[in-house]
Amino acid sequence: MVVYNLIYLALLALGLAFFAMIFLSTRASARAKPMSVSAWKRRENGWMYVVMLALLAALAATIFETPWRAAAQPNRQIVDVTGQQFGFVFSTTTMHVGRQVEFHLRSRDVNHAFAVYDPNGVFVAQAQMMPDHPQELRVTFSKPGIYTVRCFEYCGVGHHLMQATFRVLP
Amino acid sequence: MTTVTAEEAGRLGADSVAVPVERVRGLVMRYVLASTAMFLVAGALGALLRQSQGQVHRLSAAVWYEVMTAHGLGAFVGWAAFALMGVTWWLLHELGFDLGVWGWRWAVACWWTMIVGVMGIVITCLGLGFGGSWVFLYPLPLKSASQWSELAAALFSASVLVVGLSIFAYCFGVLAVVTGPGLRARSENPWNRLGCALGLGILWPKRFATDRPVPYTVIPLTVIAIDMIIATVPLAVLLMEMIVQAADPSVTIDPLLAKTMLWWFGHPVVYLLLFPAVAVYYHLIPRYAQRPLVAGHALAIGWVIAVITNVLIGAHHMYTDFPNSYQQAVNSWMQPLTYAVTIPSALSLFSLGFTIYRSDFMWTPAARFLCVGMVSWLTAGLQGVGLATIQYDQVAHNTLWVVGHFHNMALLNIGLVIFAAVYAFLPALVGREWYSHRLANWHLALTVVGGYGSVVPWMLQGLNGAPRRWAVLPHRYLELTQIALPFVALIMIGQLVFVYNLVRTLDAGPVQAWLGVRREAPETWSGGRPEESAGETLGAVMAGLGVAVSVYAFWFKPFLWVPIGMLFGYVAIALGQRRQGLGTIGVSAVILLLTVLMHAGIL
Repeated sequence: MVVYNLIYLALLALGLAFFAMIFLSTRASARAKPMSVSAWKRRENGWMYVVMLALLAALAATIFETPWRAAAQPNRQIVDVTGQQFGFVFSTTTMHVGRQVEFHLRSRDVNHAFAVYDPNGVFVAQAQMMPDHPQELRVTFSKPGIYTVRCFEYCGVGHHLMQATFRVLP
Repeated sequence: MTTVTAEEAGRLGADSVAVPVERVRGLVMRYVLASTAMFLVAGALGALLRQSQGQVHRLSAAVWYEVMTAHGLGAFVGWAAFALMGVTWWLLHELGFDLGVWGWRWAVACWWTMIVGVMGIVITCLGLGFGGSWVFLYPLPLKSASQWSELAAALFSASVLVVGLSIFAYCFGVLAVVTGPGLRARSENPWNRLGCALGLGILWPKRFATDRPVPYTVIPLTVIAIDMIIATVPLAVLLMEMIVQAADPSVTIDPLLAKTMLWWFGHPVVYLLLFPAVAVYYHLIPRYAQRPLVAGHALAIGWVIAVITNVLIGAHHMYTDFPNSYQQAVNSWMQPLTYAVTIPSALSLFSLGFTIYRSDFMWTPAARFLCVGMVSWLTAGLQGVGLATIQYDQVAHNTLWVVGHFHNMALLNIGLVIFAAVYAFLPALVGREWYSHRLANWHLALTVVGGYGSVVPWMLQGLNGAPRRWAVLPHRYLELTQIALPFVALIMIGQLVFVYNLVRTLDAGPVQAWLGVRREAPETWSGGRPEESAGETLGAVMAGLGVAVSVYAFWFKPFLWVPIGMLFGYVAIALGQRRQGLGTIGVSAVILLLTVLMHAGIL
């Protein structure tokens, strides 16, 4: 996340510098220099290749980091969680640091989402809970303490009340 | 204006007869005024939501979610999409594409269906208590935990369906006009003419031949007209299913399929706003730079990519749905396809930037709105690339970061383009210059400062995991929400300035303004500047409001509201009411001092 945000800020700074250059170039003193429209039309082709290469690089760097590619470990703990308006029902609320937890998520009524925060309130992971389509989310917790779960998909008038906690032991 | 010759009219049929310019002006004004009214209502609802989260006056959860639903759809389609639909007709007119009989009929049908649909949405939300959010994820509308009735869900679905009909009418109207006589295509084959309107003649000039170069402005309009027809059909089916299910609960649909159908529409509809806004950029930036758009083959390629990928990428809203290997594969494909749709944006910013570069640029109010809008397009577009990345979306999805992103795009890019179009085209529509350019510049400054002051706290909260669509946020996010509130007030003040300027400009009585529009109206902006003495009355009102806010603040959250009272005073000074503004700031300062002394226990 930090890397993403730093890349965003760096690109934003470059973009703002670009616009500053463009807007300042409309001053009378800058306009005195010749500007070839046809040359910049040709350079647009080059810009297109730069953009495509940058996107391809970003794709190659990130596409394999998806939650559904997290491999199941043999000693994982399976925890069933059911969402319903407006609460979560856990099969157990005790887990362990370092041992992979496989949450089996399902919904009894409407779309919900299962979002986990660590004891410091830092966001850990999320996945949807959909009626008729159970899905699995695998997480390995690194900190002991009380974790908070919040509903992350709007589910009705009690949506903001839909919270729960579980304990992760050392 | 380009008219259709008798020979062409005979060849293409009576449908291609030109519509008188007075009627086009009147119709476009109806769009502008109706969408502006919806903007003010939807914006006020948004401010109501934010102040409630800031715990100034907390709404009940049920009311908050009803207001959220009305705000979302009201602002998105009732204002932004509706305004850009109206702007589209005028753009096409200025480009020499006469509406013709069918274009006119579709444009009128589009206006009426949007009015009816949005009114239905507002009534079902605020009157019948429907609060299913603007994405109304199935089956929530029909499983409301007794908060609203099946009748409300059915009427809401029917209202959105009518809005969908408005979108269809817009698309058919645009396609009728851009493939009409104004295109000057040599072929009469409708598919070839459609290819010409898509800009394929730039890539294959012999195959897609036209008697004049196809304006770049037409290309994004054609792209979105094609894509929104494809995108809206599944949504219409889903809405009809919900109407039927409201009457007969035994009729159901798979929730995952329903979600796919929703997002199949739900992402392209974003481009129903962005692509016409791009058309406005393509049309106006060259005008103010006084040179043609700096664009070649690459931009045409970018739009070919857009017309294909735009309708395929809706499932990137479903990265956190991965119940089976099929959905996982679909999600994985969404990332490269979504990346691809950013290419026309990157190319457009390049073209627009170098159209301005070293030009004798006319820094009119409309031009300033456009230039700031381009910067926002960059800031929000880069955020979009992040959200398109599965790894990043796992953390940002459904947080307030997303809310910040789309307000950055919708208000501070697309919204500024809408205002730019209104500032640019109104003189030609009503036959008079704007009452004040200075007020227009104030409108821009207040909207941008308020807008970014409102958006950045959302993004920071989102990075800290703040959930979106929560009537009451967890307490740790309260401080940033309250910091944002003065900036929300700035946005509102900015829009008051805009409305005041608009009303003084029209100055013909609401009825005449609504009906449009003087027959002696000039064809284009005359370029003259009005007197710069405007704003005194508004300044006095601002000063009075500032005193009222500060006095009120003495009893309620003074550290939050007294600075807002001071801001009102500052705006009053800027609008020419120096004494009243200083008085407001003085009263506010005294109240702040008294409050500090009371908190310190001295009083």
